[in-house]
Amino acid sequence: MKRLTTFRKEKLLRLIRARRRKEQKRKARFFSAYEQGNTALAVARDLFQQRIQYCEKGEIEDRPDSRRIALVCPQELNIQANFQGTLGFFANLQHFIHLRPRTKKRTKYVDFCNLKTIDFGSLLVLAAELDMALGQRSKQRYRNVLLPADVHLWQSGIAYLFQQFGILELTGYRPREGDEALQAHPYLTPIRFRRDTLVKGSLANDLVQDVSALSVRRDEEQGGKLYTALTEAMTNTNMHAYPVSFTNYPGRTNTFWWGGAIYDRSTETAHFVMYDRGVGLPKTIPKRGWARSMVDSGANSDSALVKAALTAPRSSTGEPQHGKGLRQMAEAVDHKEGSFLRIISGKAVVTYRGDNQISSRELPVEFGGTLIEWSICDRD
Amino acid sequence: MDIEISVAEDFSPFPGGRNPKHGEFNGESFRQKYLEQPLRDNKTLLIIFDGVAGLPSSFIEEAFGGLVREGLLRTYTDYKEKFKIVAESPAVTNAPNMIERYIKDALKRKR
Repeated sequence: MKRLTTFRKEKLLRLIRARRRKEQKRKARFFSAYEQGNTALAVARDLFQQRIQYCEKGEIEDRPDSRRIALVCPQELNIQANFQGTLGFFANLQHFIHLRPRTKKRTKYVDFCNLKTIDFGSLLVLAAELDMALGQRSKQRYRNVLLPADVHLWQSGIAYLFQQFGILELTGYRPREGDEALQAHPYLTPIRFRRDTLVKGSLANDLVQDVSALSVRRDEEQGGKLYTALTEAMTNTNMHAYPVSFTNYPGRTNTFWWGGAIYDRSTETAHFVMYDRGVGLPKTIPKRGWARSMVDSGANSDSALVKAALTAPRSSTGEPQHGKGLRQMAEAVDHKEGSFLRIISGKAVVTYRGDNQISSRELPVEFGGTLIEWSICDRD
Repeated sequence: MDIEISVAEDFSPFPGGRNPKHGEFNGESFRQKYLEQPLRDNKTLLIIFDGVAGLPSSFIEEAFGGLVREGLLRTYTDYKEKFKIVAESPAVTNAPNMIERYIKDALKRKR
């Protein structure tokens, strides 16, 4: 009787294993056919590989004592001043989160102990990347995968920035009362980031009002311009950033925008940032008509296209009533000394300093998405 | 004026986007809900923008430029006769200029 049971058990196990192998083969066939036929995925993968090759390999440490495998963040995250290091960290973070296989023995962990300074754009991109990985998971046990257990070892002010901006909340960290690491930053006050897929005026208004409450001067007209600029950025993301043929790699393709704001008391400057992980502004500008003539004249770089879109607005829809949004985004910094609008998209970095003063430069690799920053100086 | 519409109170203080795909308080919905029927009935409208957080161009263009594309405004005089715009709060003072510009642009394109 016992032998028969063992025999039946083994038979059952063999059957289960065979069925599992068959299923794995079917899945592999399906994914290989999906990837072969999916040119958008191939393009996205190529772009990601370019970014990884351009940047340094991420510093990954195996820490057997704490059963962690850790990606170490560099000292400075600044898209303008340290583009290679910053882009490298984000590319490695995407690889670490989405492509590195999970193991039961080690928990994936991002170590921010080295981080000393972070610019506002990087803060939002980091929030967006972690939000894509953790923010939409419903189960708390998954949220804690990147739980920052060593916040007390972080540089002063970083934990506070992360907490106020909503990044610590994503990782599942619950601050305790009297937590020394969370002491306020001497001059920066971040406003929690917002995320959505639609044009939500109320969210744009929240950001504007929250910053306005911190600001020395309350300028209602400027508030209206900023509200308009933010909602136009949302509309652009909704209409153009994620075309049907677009695929994100690595990670899922969601049609989100992320928006945040920070007030800097030392310079009396309000910073508003909007980010999407879409196809990028230069790719949405049609290569016909006015843009075609630019391509023919040799000025077909991404920065030239974005610059032209800011000064002579046109839309990818080709319809004449569209394409005014970008110009309206720029109006928020017109007649405001010391203020600027910066657009980083594709390989373009275009800075508009109001009243048609534009400077631009070309990046060596594509940024991946579109990052827009308004820096509004309160001083006269 | 026959009909008075406060955008902030009757529609939303936070308008944005061109059509319903973009969000709830878009220009197309505003036009269809508040502007088209009164114009068909040959009524005059007083539109109050005070209390609105700002004026996104996509919203304004779709709401008013859309009236030209729908054939409800045929000339600039039509607009002047049928609409009165009130926008006194600092966030929306440019509303009358914006609307006039988009209506003129739409009329030019229609010709």
